[in-house]
This record gives sequence, C-alpha cells and structure tokens, in this order.
Amino acid sequence: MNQKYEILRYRPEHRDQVIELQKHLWSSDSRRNSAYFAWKYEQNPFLNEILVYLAFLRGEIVGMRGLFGSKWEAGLPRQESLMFCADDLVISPEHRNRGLFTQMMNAALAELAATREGYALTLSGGLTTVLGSLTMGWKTIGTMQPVGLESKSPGKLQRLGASINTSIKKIPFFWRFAESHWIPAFAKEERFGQLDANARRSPRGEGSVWIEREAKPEAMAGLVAALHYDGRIRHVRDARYFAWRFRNPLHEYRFLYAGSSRLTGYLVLRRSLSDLHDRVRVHISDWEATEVNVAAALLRAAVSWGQFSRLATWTATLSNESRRILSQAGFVPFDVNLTARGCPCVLVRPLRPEKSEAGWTFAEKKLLDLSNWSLRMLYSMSG
Amino acid sequence: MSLQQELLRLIESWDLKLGGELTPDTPLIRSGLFDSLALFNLVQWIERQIGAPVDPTTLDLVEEWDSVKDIVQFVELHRLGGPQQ
Repeated sequence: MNQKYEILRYRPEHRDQVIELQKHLWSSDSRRNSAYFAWKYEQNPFLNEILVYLAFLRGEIVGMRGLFGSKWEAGLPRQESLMFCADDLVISPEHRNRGLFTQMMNAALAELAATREGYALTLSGGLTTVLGSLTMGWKTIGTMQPVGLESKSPGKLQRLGASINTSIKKIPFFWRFAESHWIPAFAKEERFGQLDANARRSPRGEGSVWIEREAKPEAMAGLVAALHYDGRIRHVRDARYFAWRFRNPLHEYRFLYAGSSRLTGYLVLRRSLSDLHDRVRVHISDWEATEVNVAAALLRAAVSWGQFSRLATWTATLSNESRRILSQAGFVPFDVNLTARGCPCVLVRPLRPEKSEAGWTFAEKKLLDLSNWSLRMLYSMSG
Repeated sequence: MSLQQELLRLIESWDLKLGGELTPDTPLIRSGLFDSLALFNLVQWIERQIGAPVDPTTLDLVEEWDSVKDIVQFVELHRLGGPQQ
C-alpha cells in the first residue's frame, strides 16, 4: 500500500478543497456542492461534529469518505440509536487503485470505535463501494429489490423539450446552452413540469389527492406516528427529520398528499438536480397512508400526473399490500443488471469489529436479517 | 494461454503497487493490494469467464478470491454450472 498518502479528519480550512474534489461526484457546480456539504454535514440534526476523512498527498486533498448522522428506532417499546452512514466516497482519478478507500474507511472506523459503540451503515453504495466494503468486514442485509415503471410514451412537454434540446445541440455556439439553466424548464428533457402541469394543487374534499412543493414536517410526522408500528428497524421520521431531510440541494421534491382536514397519506417524489447524475429518473422516496385505498390513490396520481420516463422505488421491506399496488400500477423489477450483482443493498458493520455476527443486534433484532428492517429510499441519498 | 496466466497478466496490467512478483498464491485482498476498483475490474473479468453476473454480497471475498489460484478455482467451478448462492 502506498505510504505517501496521509489520512486526516476534516477541519474547516479543508472546506474549499472538499467542495472542488466533489466535482467528481456530487455535481460540477461549486455552489451546489457547498450547499450540499452544509446541509448534510454542518446542519445534520443528529450529529454535531463533522465525520469526514480525507486523503492528502503533499497537502492536496485527493480523496474523501464521509459519515453522516442518522437516528434509527426499533423494538417495542422503542429504542433509538445513532448510526453512522458512510457515504460520499470520492477519489481523484489519478489517485485511484491505491487503496485509499480502505485507508480512509479504516481511519474513520478506528476513530469512531475508540469513543463510541454502535454501527455504521452504507445505504447508497455503488458496486465499487460495496466490493471494497465487503473486504473490510461489512455485511449486506440484502438487496433493496427495486421496481420501476418506464413510460412508453413521454408526455407532450417531454417530447417538445427533447426536440428543442436536440435542435439546440446541433447549432454552432448554442450547443453549450442545451443543458443549461438558460433554457426554460419545460424545454429540457425531464423536469417535474408535466407533474406540476397536471396535478391538483389543493385538496377538494376528503379523500382527494393534491401536490405541493414543500414538505409538511409536522403533519407527515404525525401520520407516521399514528400508523401501526411493528418494531422493525427504521429511521426515525419525526418533524425535525422531515424538516431537514427535504432541504437536500442535490434533489428536487414533490409531495403528494391525501386527505383534507387531516392528512391520511403522502407520497414523496424525488428527482436529481445534479448534472453528474440521472436527472430523468424519478424516485418514490417515501410513501405512507392510513388505508390501502389511499396509498393506491396516491400512487395512481403520481403515475398519471407525472408521466415520468422512469419512476422507481425500493420494495424489499414493503408490505404485500404495497407490493400489490405497485404491481397493479405496472411496476416491474428494475435495475436488473444491478440486482443480479446484489445491489442496491444496505451494508452494516459494528464500529468495533470484534463482535461476532450473531451479536450484531439492535433492540434484540438481528441486523443481518432483512425481515427485521423497514426501509425506505428516503433513508438513503437515493431518496 | 491458461486461465491462470491470463489473469496474472491482466492483474499486472492494472498499475497496482505490487512490490514484488505476482504469483498464483500472492494474497490480493488480505494484503490490501486489491482495492475496490481492482475488485470491480475482477468482477467484470470473472463474469466474462463464467458468462453470468456475480453477486459478490453472497460471497466471502477474502476466502474465495484472495489469490489468482482461488479466483481461477471459482471460475472453473461456476463455469461448470456449480452452485451459485
């Protein structure tokens, strides 16, 4: 292993370099990267310290691995636990294949293990990250069984937008604006434009579904709290979490609500704003309802109003009813090339590696048993 | 060229800091020689050899893929339609 690199914990004076380094992963936009770093690490509601580990070579930051705070609950009566989500692995291209991922992750875990108990999670790792993690003692709890819907016929706005965009790309000089913010939103290949144009924007009586651009943290948390809880391991979804979660600067959200005087359900749609990520694909980040017919109505509205080219979600721990609703709406297994390779998955490992796997528990629930988890895309940065 | 020779040559082409001769018994994962990118490239090679995707999350990579000899044994087992998890 190359000894020239030095692994250090982040300090505020490293911020500018981190923002630039993340042009390889988060986005090409420094301002967006800065806002994302602030949101995820500086404003994290569960952790008041920044756990970012950096690889240095002659004073230059060439690699990063972060861990952000997350709060989980399990058991009846409920127990809560802070868990550390490993994320944001980036290494400058010329410094890859040098074992820096392993070095940074080991440094992070060693420091955490010195002062804390508990577990680390990886919720958003691509195959490369998963492979490296598996060699460091991480274990998978299972694949997230994504399902999705692909629209055979894009909506009118998408067709118009795609056509305009294609034309612009052929024009000398103007090609550079084809994907820029100078082009109105509707002219670009994919936006929430179709959804916004089609959707109802306010409730019309009990049982109606409507859309808003803002979360309702208190109401959503109240709904989650009112629903039956079976004790499975899940992220705490209280008002504080919801108020923070949807301020992610790399994503854009739409909130479908059901009910009128009282919220009876919600469905959250997420789209990436990063030029480095798939901005066409939309995810169902979270989805809750008091009754099956409300859940179904929310999904029908999302599908019919959105006319998305690609709409996907995770189903690994959903109820049979939810899976049936998705299937009836036309959702089929998605990302088959990834699921055949065990991804997307959630990885876990204790901070202190001497624990045998039998002892990997939270509220007496075995962490490596997928049936003990209740997961939403929302808990990962995929949502 | 045997499978073993092919894999040895492939790994040598990956610009890893070998620090010595690469042999069929050189520990690749335990030693830290193989990082995540090398493993990704390895998965692609294995999949080409066996003609099917590989789910690494079902394997103990350190036990099954730590040396060229181990990897070739894995490929030969799965090429014959051996048990996949």
